[in-house]
Parts: sequence; C-alpha cells; structure tokens
Amino acid sequence: MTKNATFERPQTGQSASLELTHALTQTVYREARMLDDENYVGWVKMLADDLLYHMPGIETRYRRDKTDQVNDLTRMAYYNDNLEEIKKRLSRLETGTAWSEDPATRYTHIITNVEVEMTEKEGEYQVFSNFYAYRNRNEREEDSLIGNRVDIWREAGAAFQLVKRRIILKHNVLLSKNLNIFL
Amino acid sequence: MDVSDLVDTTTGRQKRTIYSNEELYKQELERIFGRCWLFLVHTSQIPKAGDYFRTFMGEDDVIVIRQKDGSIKAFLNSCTHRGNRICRADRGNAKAFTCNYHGWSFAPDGSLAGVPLENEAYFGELDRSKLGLVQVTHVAEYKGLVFGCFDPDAPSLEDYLGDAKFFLDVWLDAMPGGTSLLGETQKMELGSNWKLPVENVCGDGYHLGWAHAGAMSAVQSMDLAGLSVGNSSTNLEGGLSVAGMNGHMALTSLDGISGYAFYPEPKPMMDYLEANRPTAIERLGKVRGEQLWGSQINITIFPNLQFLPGLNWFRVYHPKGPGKLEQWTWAMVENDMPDEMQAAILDNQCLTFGLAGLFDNDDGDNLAACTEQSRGWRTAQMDVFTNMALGRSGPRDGFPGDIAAGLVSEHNQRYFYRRWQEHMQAESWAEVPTYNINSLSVEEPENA
Repeated sequence: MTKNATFERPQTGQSASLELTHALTQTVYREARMLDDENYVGWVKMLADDLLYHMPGIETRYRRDKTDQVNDLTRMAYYNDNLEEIKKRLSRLETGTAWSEDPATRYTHIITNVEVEMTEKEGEYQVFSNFYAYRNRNEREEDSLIGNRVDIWREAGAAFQLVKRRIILKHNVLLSKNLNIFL
Repeated sequence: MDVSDLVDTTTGRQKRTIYSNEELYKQELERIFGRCWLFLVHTSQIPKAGDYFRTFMGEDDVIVIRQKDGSIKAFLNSCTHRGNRICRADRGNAKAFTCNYHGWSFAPDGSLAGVPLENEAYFGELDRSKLGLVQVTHVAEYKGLVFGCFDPDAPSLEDYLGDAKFFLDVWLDAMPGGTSLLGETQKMELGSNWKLPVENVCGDGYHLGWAHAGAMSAVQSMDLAGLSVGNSSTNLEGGLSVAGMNGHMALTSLDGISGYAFYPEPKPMMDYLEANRPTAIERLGKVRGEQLWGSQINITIFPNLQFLPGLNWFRVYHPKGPGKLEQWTWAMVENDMPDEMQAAILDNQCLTFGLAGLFDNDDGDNLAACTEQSRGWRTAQMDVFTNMALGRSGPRDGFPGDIAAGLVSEHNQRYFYRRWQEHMQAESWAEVPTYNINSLSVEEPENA
C-alpha cells in the first residue's frame, strides 16, 4: 500500500450553498452520534474506500522553526490510516478480548464551527469543524480532547462519504493514557 | 530508607509500597536517576552543530546540544540567574539560549555570553565565568546512543553497559549504515509508577497473549516463540530471557524473523532480512547474525530505556512522582533500510505502540490500575510476585548472562528488582556491585 507524501487539500475558499451546508453539517453530526454510540458498523459505511485518516503528532517548536509538522505525511502521525487500517483497529474491538474497552468508555463528541466549501471536484466538499471529545471511564477517569478538523466529503448516492480527514489535536504530552478514540 | 525487606529476589517478591511511597521515590531520584547513565538522545536527532533536544534526567529538565566540533554537551535547562527555563521548545537549532525573564544569554557550549546592563547595573563586577549553565557531569555515546550521568564516580558508559552490548550491537551494529530514530516524540502521561512499564517490557512475555489478545488477533502475521492469543500455548525453546548483565536485560526470540510478527504485511521486511543476512552474520557472527538479527528482542538498559528491534520502537520513561510517568516513544530504523521500508516501520510503530496504538491501549490501563492498587493502607503492605520459573536459569553456549528459557518467565523482572534494590541500598557507586554473569569475554578460547 503506497501513501501520498503530502496532505493535499483544495484552496477554493468558495462557500457551499445553504442546502449543501445543511446537509454536510447534519452528516458530521450524524457521524459524531455514531461514534458516541460505538456504532462502528454504521460509521464504516460513511467512510470512502480511498480514505485517508490523518492525525499528525506535533512537537513544541519555536516560531522561527518552519518545519511543516502538519501536512508532511512522511512525518510521525498518531493516525495515518487507510480504510483497511481503520478496520484493523475496529477488529480489535470486535474480538471481545480488548479488555481495556470493557467496561465501555463513555463518549461525547461535540462538533462545532462547521464551514462547508466547494472544491475543484464535482460532488466533493471541504468541511472544516472543531471538536470537543469527552471521555469518562470506570469511576472517575476522564479526559478531554479538543482540536480542529478539515475533511473532504464526497457525494455517494443520497449520502456523503468521508474521503479525507486531518485532525489537529492540541496536546503535546497526551494527558490521558491512550488515544483510543476516533475524532 | 532501608529497602532490604521490600524486594526478595530469592523468592520473587516485592512489597507494593515501592510503587506508591513518596519517600522511596525521592530516594530513587537520588540513587537511581541521579547515579545511573540515562539515555539522552540519538545522534540522528541532532545531526548538525547547534541542533538541540530537550529531555529529562529523572525530573531534571536537560538540553542536549551538538557543538561546533561535533561533540555533544548536556546542560540543565535552567537560567543560573533566577532559575527560569531557558529553552521551551522540544527540539530545534540554536545559536544561543536567551532567558525570557531578564535576557541572560547562553552560548551552545553553556557559557554565559551576555547579560543586559552588565556594566550599568552590575558595575562590571559579575563573574560570568562562574555562571555558565550547569553541565551534566558525564556525556558519552555508544554507537549512536547518547547517555548522560550526574554522578562523578560512575563507571564509564562502556563498563556500565557491560555485556548488554552483546545485544545492543544486534541493533546498533548489524548494518554498516548505523541506525536512526524517526519522528516527532510521542509523549504520553500515564498514572503508573515508572518501574511497572520497565518491568513489563524487560521480561513479561506472559502478558502478551492475554493482555494483548485483541491486538494480536488484529495484526499478528507470524509465529512468535509459540505465543498465542488467549495464552493457550508457548514454546520455551523459541526464546530466551537474559539477565544478570549489570541490571540490563534482553528478552529475545531466536528465529531471526519474528520481530516483524506484528506487521500485517511483513513481506518487504522479510526480503530485507534475507538480502542483508550475510552482512549481519559477517558483522555479528553466526549466533547473533542468524538467530537474533530480525528476531523480536526487548532490550532494557537500566533504569528507563527500552527498545525493541523488530517492532522497532524506542522508548524512555521519565518519572513524574511515584504514581505518574511520561512515556516518550520514537520509531527506530537501520539507515540501510530503503525509504519505503522506513516509512512503513514508522506507520506500523504508530499503529501498534503509538499513542493510538493497538497494544499500548491495553498496557496503559493495566499499569495504571496496578499503581492505584498499591496506594491503599492495606494494599501498600501487600506483596506482588515475580516468581515464575524461579531457579531455572543458567548459562547458554554463545550467549552472555544468566538465562531462562522462553519468553514466558519472570526471570528478567527479578533481576530488574534486584538491581533496583542494589542501587537503593548503596550509599555510592563504590557500594554498587558490578556483574556480567557468564561473560563471554572470560570464556573466549584465547583466555584459556
């Protein structure tokens, strides 16, 4: 499996219609609900076959350091997954032996600041959003993951499929014991 | 504190208080992290003059920086005026470090280069030569790995590593191009005592088939010393638990390929191993070139460095109190590996042992809970055990160390706690025993 070297995304800056914006906003809300419900069967159906799901790891650097830690796909990334790899992660959960997931983690994904733009490609749209993902587990374990996303969604029949997602998490030291969550 | 009753290596017992006691933790900072050689940086992370990398020695914040002459120095990251942190980035390149508080400026060699209002306000009476950054006492390199040590009386790095070099070289010296660490530092805070992950990785093949059953089902592509999902079998002939090397350990399979058992697509790695096997044999000899290079090997350098040829992750644990640590991970590659293979290794390391990794999810949860269950009034008094395969170790032809068969044994953990106890009991390096059990160097024919 070969992967691209850079995360490419459109720069049209052209807002989508009210109707499209509404449809895609509802789509990312629906996706968040599926993740909250651990409805991974439903979630995978929202993912395109050529998916790129990318969360780069970002070090603290001085402003004068111009290293591109965000778009360079050859750098370290907590997620740099295609659809097959996402399915491998899900298959671990389905084995019934992922002990750290039982009792279940309680999730809430809050999605805000949604903007929808047209792209150069017919039927593909760029969607910006922010997320606040809250997790609570066992008695008092909790953590909050906050960040930005930029997605490409593609029309697929009456619905949309996620083609590309870049997630920028704001942590340097991850202040929780894993990133076992889809954002 | 007297720790003679807290660890019993003859029966494989530890008191749980060693994972939670505040006073013991302070003693560890002094007698273990203040005394031992600690991993600082890989030379590949600071290739050019002025390149620096920030890390920790115990809880001390340290800057490691490449000098103009190519040598490497390390300093406490603290202004000698008012103590402020002088560098806030994880890494970069610097001509000087200037303190944000009053503008004192330090050169890459640590000297105090500039003081604002030096003549006007200090009347030219400041002795700058005495106010350079505090240097880490010893800095030395072993084949790309740079270590630092605060203790002036410590043995040399070569002596400190001792026979562990036999295993270190399987990674560091198998190929002529040397090795590198890849990627941004993957940092995670975990509510675990620092000894628990070290103990887990140094010798605990027992947990793999059970704790990681789900992850193994998802990505395992070949046999690893007979370890199986659900812990239903193991092949004791397939691996070795090696300890008794000055507190360092190796846990290794012996097939020369199963390091890549947790790669869903190991074919490119198998091709690389096959093509370069003759080189590895030529450089390392038959035993290591055939049986170890390419195998799954967990290497532990006491107290807090671990790296796994094969799975290709490299990790240090920085203590942050008795119940907390910071885990720093990188991917590691041989420089002779083709670019695509290096990229695949970085990806697979993140998929398996990264912050979102399939395996790390399981370990963090268990180690944090073991730490919590050592804090109660009653539980702190209780014992925990590493008594599997007690008394079933000895020498092996062609290998150094005191060796138990297989990856499933608690032999290495016992030696880890033995070393911990030796350091915690000793007032100084003079009281710390040196041992390289069954050292090959004394068994070479020319010595006979």
